Amino acid sequence: MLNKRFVLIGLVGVFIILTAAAWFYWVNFSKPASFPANEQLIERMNKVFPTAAVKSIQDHVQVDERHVFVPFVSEEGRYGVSYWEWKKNKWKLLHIDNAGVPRLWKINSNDPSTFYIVWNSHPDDKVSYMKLYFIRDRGFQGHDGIETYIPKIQLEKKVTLTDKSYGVLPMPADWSAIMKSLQQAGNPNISDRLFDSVFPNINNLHFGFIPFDQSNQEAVIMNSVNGSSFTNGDINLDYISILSKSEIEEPLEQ
Amino acid sequence: MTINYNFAFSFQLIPIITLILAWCVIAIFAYRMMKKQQVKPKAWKALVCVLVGLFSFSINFPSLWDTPIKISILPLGVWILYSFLKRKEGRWVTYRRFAWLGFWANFIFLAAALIAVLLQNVTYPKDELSTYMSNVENAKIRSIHPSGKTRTLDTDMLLKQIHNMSREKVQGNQWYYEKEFRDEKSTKRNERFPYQLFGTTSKWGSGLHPIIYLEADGKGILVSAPQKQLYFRSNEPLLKGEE
Repeated sequence: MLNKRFVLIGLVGVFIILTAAAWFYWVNFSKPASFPANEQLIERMNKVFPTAAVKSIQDHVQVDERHVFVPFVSEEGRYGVSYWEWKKNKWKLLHIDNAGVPRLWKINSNDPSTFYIVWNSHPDDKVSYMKLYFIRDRGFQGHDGIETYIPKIQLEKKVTLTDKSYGVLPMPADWSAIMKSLQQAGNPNISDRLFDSVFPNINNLHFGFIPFDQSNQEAVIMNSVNGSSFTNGDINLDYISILSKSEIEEPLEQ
Repeated sequence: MTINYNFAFSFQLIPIITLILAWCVIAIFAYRMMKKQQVKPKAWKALVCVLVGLFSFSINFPSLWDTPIKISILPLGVWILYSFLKRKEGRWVTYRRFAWLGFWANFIFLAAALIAVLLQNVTYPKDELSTYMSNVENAKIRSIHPSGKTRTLDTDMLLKQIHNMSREKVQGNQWYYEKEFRDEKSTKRNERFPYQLFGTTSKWGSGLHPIIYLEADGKGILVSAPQKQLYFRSNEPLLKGEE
């Protein structure tokens, strides 16, 4: 009698584990279906967020196998952006914004190599190129005669907007290598972990950009900012601040 | 911006060994108690008593080392076991010792942690460059600031210098405000440490992941570990290419 019961419990357990594994696999590894057609996308976006008033789709930019960036133009002529993810066996609209000022899309916030900078700049802003920046401010600390110094990080990447108003930039190798190293260095020891469960962000990293016009002057962007947006799913988007040349360091002449 | 920290396993050899030893000591005590007692307790129940007995109210003293000293005062686990076991005659007497073993085990762990700190300091001296940088063969530098020119690391020279570099004071304040690195009137400014070193590992088993910066003149190394920074100078430049 006892054995029978154990066998039964065992079987039920195995069944539950298998079902959970299958579900997990299905949610995380199922092969994405082909991306919906433009008419369907427009319909979905206007239904979820009527304010966007999407008129036409500019492109489907495949960010990775399961993530797509879709820039669009609205009825009132705004240039917007939308973020899509293959999740639970369908293409899900994660976020929609009717202004395309650059943003940082962190697909997996633990892994800097899955970070992307995305934008869709309004043509009326006449931005011909942008300089994107990865920055950590210089710093120092001193107490009890023990000083520490934090070197400045300032890395730059230029992207042109002359062919297309929109774009997706994967993290340059240097940027993600530096972020990964900082992430690892911040990793507390096993013993420390028991004591501090709350871990502060000590690195003070940020991203910025400067838009330039054709004559290499800083462009004033009016139409790409102040959009309305709607979040429909689990997405990690960071702001990227507009900088000016006066905030950027240049090397001294020799 | 915040980056979430995934707790990649940081492998510290010595604390793991001392922790295993501490458990062995506790197991030996438990085994000997078992032998001595006339009324034999069930082994798994005794184990549960030891584990519950571990639960205690403790005070953390900040110590000179990185690990705080945790001293257990109130045997909460023992009390819980007592209130639970006293209901049946003789049960408390059988398991009492194991519950107390759990409480005293806190001090065995404390001793293990202190031994680990001592061994750690001997095996991985905190003031030596070789603790933070041991595999130099595949090292390379990346520029982190526009003032970092395209120069490459002289791996052979670094290998030669690693044990001869002299330790010097980190001058955070001075480096931050440094005049020779900046033009007061404009945004022109050089970074004193415009390169980061990649591809080196810390000494095996130390569990350290320091960030290592190289100085613009190629002769200085700034090691940045949590809660500690070290600065080393070499006589020869560690970078190749024009300055």
